[in-house]
Amino acid sequence: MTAAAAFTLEVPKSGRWPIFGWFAVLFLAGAQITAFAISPPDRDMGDLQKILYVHVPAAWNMGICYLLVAIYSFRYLWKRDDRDDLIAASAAEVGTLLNGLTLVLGMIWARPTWGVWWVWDARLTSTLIMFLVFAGYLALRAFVEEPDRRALWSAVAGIMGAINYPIVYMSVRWWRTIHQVQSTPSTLDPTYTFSLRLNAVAVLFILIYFIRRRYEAALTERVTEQLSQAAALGGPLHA
Amino acid sequence: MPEMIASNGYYVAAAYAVGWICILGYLLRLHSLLRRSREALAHARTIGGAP
Repeated sequence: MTAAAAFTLEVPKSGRWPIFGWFAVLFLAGAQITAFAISPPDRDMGDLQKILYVHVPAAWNMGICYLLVAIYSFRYLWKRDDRDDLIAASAAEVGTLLNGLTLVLGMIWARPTWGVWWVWDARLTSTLIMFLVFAGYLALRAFVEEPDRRALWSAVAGIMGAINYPIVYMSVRWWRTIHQVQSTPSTLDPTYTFSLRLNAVAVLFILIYFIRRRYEAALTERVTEQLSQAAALGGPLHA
Repeated sequence: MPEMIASNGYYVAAAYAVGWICILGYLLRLHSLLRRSREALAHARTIGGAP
């Protein structure tokens, strides 16, 4: 990074983004009320079915995060814009959180329904592998100090990690697993579909809010890094 | 299968507790990160003499 590059980034402003946080609170409240007060217990699973209202939306939104990682990693490799790298990293962090949540909630649901916390079936194993890949991605970012090299290696690792998502999604169709195949609105009661979608939108707003705030923090850190480098090189400071 | 399932409220409560702890924990981490990054930026500006 040269002193000239110190002037490429600006300190981010929150703007109207916090409104997504309030949308998240509103939708979460509505989703929880719907899940517990309106949606009836499932014939087979009873109240355990309510775990799926958080497990499935977490898994869907994890996919959105990893799609963002792939898109912005490609954009970084194409345009070499630091902001793309930081958006990809922010999405990866939130995606890893949702990935972990998907795994843990799945285990809590599996214990009373399958009788075990964990089985090495294709869906569970591929989801765990993806979690470990993105945990590695975050560790890579923490250990590489040179910004350009960190961004380049992260972009490659991010694309490689995101490639796993279609495998995770299709694993229940490609291999014989204990995990059921994806449900569709035609196989679900409309009450369940509504609750599931409401929870999914709530988690989507959480995701948007989290990624934006994480990006703001990362960009502010990056500007600080550039200011410090420019000061060390004796250049002017404009950030 | 239905008779094998112990429809235990503890599992539901545990799942929702884990979900809320994750969301609120990450929210706190984000606010802490933002505050620290802004403080570091203000400090870097003071050191460098930037406006």
